[in-house]
Amino acid sequence: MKVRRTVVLGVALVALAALLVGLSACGGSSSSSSSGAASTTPVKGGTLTVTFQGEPTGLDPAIAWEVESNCIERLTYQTLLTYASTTGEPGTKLVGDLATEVPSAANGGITQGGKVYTFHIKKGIKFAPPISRDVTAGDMKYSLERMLRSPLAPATYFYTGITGAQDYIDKKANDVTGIKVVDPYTLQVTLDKPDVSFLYAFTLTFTSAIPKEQVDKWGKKVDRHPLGSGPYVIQSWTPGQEIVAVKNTNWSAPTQQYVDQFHFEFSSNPGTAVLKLERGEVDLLGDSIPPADYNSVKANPQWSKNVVEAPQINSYYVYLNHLEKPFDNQKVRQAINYAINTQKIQKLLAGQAVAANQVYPKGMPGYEDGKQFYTYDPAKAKQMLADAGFPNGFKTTFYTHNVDPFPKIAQSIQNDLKQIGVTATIKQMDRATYWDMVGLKASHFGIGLTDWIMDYPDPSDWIGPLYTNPSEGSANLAWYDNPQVNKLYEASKSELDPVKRIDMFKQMQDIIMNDAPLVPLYQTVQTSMFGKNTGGFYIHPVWIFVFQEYWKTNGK
Amino acid sequence: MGKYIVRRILWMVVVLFFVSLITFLLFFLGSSNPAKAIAGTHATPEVLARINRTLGLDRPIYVQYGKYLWALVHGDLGYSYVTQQPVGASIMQRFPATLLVALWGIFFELVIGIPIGMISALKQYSVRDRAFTVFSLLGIAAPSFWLGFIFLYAFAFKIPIFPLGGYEGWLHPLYGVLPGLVLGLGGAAWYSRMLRSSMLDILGADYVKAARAKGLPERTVVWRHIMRNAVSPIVTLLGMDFGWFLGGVLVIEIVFSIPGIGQQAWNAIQTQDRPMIMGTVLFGALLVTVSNLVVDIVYTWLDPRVKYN
Repeated sequence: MKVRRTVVLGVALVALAALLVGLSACGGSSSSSSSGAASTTPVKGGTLTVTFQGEPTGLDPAIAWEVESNCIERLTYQTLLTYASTTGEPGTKLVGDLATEVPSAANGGITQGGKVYTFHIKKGIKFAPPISRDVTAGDMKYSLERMLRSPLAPATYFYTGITGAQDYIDKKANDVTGIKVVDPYTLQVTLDKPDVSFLYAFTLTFTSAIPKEQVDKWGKKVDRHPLGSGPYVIQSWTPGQEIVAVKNTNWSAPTQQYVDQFHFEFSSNPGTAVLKLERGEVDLLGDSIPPADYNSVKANPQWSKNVVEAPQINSYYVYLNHLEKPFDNQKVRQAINYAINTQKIQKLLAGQAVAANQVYPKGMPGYEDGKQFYTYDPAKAKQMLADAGFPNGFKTTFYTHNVDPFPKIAQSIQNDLKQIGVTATIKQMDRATYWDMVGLKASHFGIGLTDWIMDYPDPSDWIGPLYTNPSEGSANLAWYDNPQVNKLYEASKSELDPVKRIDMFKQMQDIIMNDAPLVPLYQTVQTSMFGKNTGGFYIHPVWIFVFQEYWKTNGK
Repeated sequence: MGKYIVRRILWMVVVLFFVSLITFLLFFLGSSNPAKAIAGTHATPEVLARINRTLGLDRPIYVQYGKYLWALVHGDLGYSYVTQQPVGASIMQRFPATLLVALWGIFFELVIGIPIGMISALKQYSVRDRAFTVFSLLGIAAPSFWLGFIFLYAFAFKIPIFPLGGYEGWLHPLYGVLPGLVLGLGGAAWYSRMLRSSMLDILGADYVKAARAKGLPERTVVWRHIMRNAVSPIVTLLGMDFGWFLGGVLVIEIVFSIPGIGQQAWNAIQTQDRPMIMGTVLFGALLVTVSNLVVDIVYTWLDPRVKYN
């Protein structure tokens, strides 16, 4: 019958075509040869292709802060300060970006006991064409004031400590009196109260130098038409698909500008991105290797050397709300610390996490190497519960949101608690609702999961928001308020000796771990994969990606 | 017929109005705080309050809905809370990718489903029929993300005929083949079953016997008499499928890295980006109602007994 013949013929043709293409493909597999060891001399030229599943929400540095936005903003914009271009704890050291050096008491940059900061701006750093003029202290003042008054700016709270900032935001003043242009290349910032951690706020992309001409020209659309003094400029942005970045011809530094072009691919499935990288179509994965592919990639001798892993400076932990019984009882909180098996959780997260045992994550100054505050000891936990007046345990509800891996961690913890007689019912909800309700008194969330990703690698970024000043909707989910910690914290703000200052934070951690408003669980590990022709790749402890430091070994 | 179409379009407007109202109200059922999604979990209550004020989220529900509706009738779908880009433009910018995949999906549904259904019906209980039955059951049961990865691995990685996902515009239509195939396979399985049972019903009808008795060639009997009637349920399904495909099938878009309106809607849901969610829902509702209207008009051609007045 005609239909049958047509169908059979069609199927045969497709099969033949597949066979022919298959045969031709086998012979022509391109093996981009790399010597195995990454070369250490940068090679100029070529296009570096990076994949992301997400996409920047915008490139207005005053507003956009997620990973994708942040690392592309750092290609185009510069801030006064940044971090050393290296891995591990040395990579958390402050260095000058637009500034000649980091202000300190020794070089006279920090005066009045930590209240006044003077920045000297490097001469000759130019904005990209067509603006092509020097970045000045006036530009810094303009950029900071613009950010403070941006209606959607999410991070003004870092800068309201500057004298006159709040008045400026409230439109009670026409400029911020605490930001002073001493001369075209000198900027002076005065705080209401001393706060040495304030220097870190000048690494954040919210303080990027943006020229007034660009904002005047594009208005609100400047988020799609960025222009700064960074080594690259955005040539095009096809929403949902790609961004192409090319060299800023006004970049004069000898480093941080190697490839001719960056090609960022968005909406890219992380699983197929691995396949694309293996084929040489892509040079770097912007997302971590998916857990399903992680083991096979690490076991593959061809690719295991192209995987880089670095613990991230973040904390995933259980909060114990002092306002909810029985978590107002210190012995109960300590018992729970002995009851939870963090090694089991690390195994559950197979290569994507490292077990944590203290307030600060590893890699952050203040972390006390080798110190173990609590061990996994269910027998001891049970005993402590009995001492606390709960010989038969108690019933409670454990709160979490429903995005992986939180639900399976909640189950693991539920099991651990059961071993010591605590019956926990898991209450799960969608992520947005969870973050809305957690931290509100009326929610009565006594115990649950939470996380904290760093703004900057300084222990003040943990202590301040998480362990002082509890209030409705704050990040201090344990409603923890200890006068000793508060006193030390205030004192740390004006401690100019960095060693003494970190010591104070170690003391704070000791007190907090004893009070046990939390159970530390883990910190995540970023697992990145780079292609055979990608050179210079490393994971930065703060920025994760510093694209301007990478190159193509074959210059293509 | 003209009056019928006008009436249908008026009803479409009513449907869209209620879709917009119900979707809008759903946001207020649970706790909703888009400001936190925009500003991040570190933001202080003051920052969140300011963002809420900027976006008009501190006004009463009826004020917010009224403003939305007023803008809507002027063709303004608002601005995304997260990207601050106009919603209408964002949807239209991403729609071609979804459309390419949808068209390939329809193509495969028909090209695979109809021949298989026909052969199964005409050669009932033959080896082919039984083989096709098994294929249909697999096609209906197989999860699309699993099928997608298998096809990607086989036909894009191991044998590099097709690209490893992605989208490069309508000038490179091959990017839509694999996702369309996965989209279409499930539907093809359904269509083949429906067509088979529909044709089997008709094969026993009197007018078919009469046509054969008249000595008409089998080809004419099958196409002009049997198929024209058997294909009605397929047309209904096709209309619904097309509307659904055009709304952006999220799983396909994620597996194949298609930057379509499905992924955009998913991101919007996770960040409580209300204008984007509303815009996508209304757009999807529009496509579905228009598809249904087109299907109803096609019926009048297929079956002259169908009249609208």
